[in-house]
Amino acid sequence: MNIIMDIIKSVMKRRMAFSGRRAQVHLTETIAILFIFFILVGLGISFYGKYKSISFVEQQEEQLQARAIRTTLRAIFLPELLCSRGSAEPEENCMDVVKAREFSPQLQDQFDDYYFEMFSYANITLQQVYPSLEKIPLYVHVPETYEQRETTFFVMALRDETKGERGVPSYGFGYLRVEVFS
Amino acid sequence: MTPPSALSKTAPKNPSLKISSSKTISTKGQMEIMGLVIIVILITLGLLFAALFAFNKETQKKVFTRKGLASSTMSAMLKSTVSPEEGCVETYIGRGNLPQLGEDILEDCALYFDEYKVGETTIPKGYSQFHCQGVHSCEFFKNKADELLQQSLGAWGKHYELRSDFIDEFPPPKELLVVRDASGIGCSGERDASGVYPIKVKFAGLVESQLYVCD
Repeated sequence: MNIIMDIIKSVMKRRMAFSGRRAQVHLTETIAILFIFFILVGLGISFYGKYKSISFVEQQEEQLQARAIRTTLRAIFLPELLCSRGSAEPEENCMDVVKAREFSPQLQDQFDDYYFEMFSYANITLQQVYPSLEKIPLYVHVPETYEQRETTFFVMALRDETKGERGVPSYGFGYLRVEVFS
Repeated sequence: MTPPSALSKTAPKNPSLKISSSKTISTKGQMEIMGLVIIVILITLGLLFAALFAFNKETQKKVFTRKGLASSTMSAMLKSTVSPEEGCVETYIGRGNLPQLGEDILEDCALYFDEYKVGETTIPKGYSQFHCQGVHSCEFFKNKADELLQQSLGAWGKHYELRSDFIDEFPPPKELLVVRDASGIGCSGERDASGVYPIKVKFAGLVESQLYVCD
């Protein structure tokens, strides 16, 4: 009887030891899976954070670029500088150099608020390339400190009535350089 | 994820139980494979989205700059008048000392193109109505366009290609000139065009010019 009882006890012991090992294996598995899961979650969060910070910078850049476009368009179609033809429509892609020369920053000082509302912090220069090199500053409002600067160019014909012949004005080749700051 | 050795040890000796345990194993395997497939699909989708965001982003400014530049450059260049310092000599009475690059010089180039290019040979000093810097209108226009484009688009790091074709009553159209950026590559891939700028040539046909700008 004792022998039978001993056999039953040893079998029970072995079974207990085996099920304990299985539970350990299961526990290790669960811990490993959880570990990998948290690593994946951590990676996801870090990627998302990185993406968000990059997209924020990109958004800022896009806003500045949009402002550069708006400022450029305003400068191109500034009635004070367009090549007017009496009561007819002004010439396309053309700026009057004589008007531009007189449109100096000194003159603007008198209307500072008006132009600042239009262009904000910007530096607008008209650069003539042909027939001669000439740089005409149109609007200069550069902030003391800035984080970003965006430059846009726009090519234009530059009409000069003073260099014309027989009532035909001279047309030069140049470009408008618009810098905006943020 | 139970090791197979452990499963085989616990597998009962009864054949019916054996079948049910093997079924359980295959179901577990299928589930694990499904999980793996889902993970692979999710990773692929994530990479696809990342690639879409990274490569398919053309900023508003880039488009505005290129499109606006091509058209405005072409318009300004053709409108520009030649400076009296270039010493343009005109055979007939016309604009005198201020011929326009487009309407006068390019038109003249088309009219007297046969005096400039004979077969494959180019004659820079061939006859044309306008003789600026002592050369044929085609040669002068080519040099001037190259100079102006280099000082503007070229200076801003843009690639460009200017093409002018003469369309008369005898097809195909004649290629008057091609001006490319300093690298000589021009624009063959993604590019923005100025649109066709036509110039009527007296009793002869039409000159069509187009400027391509690319990054």
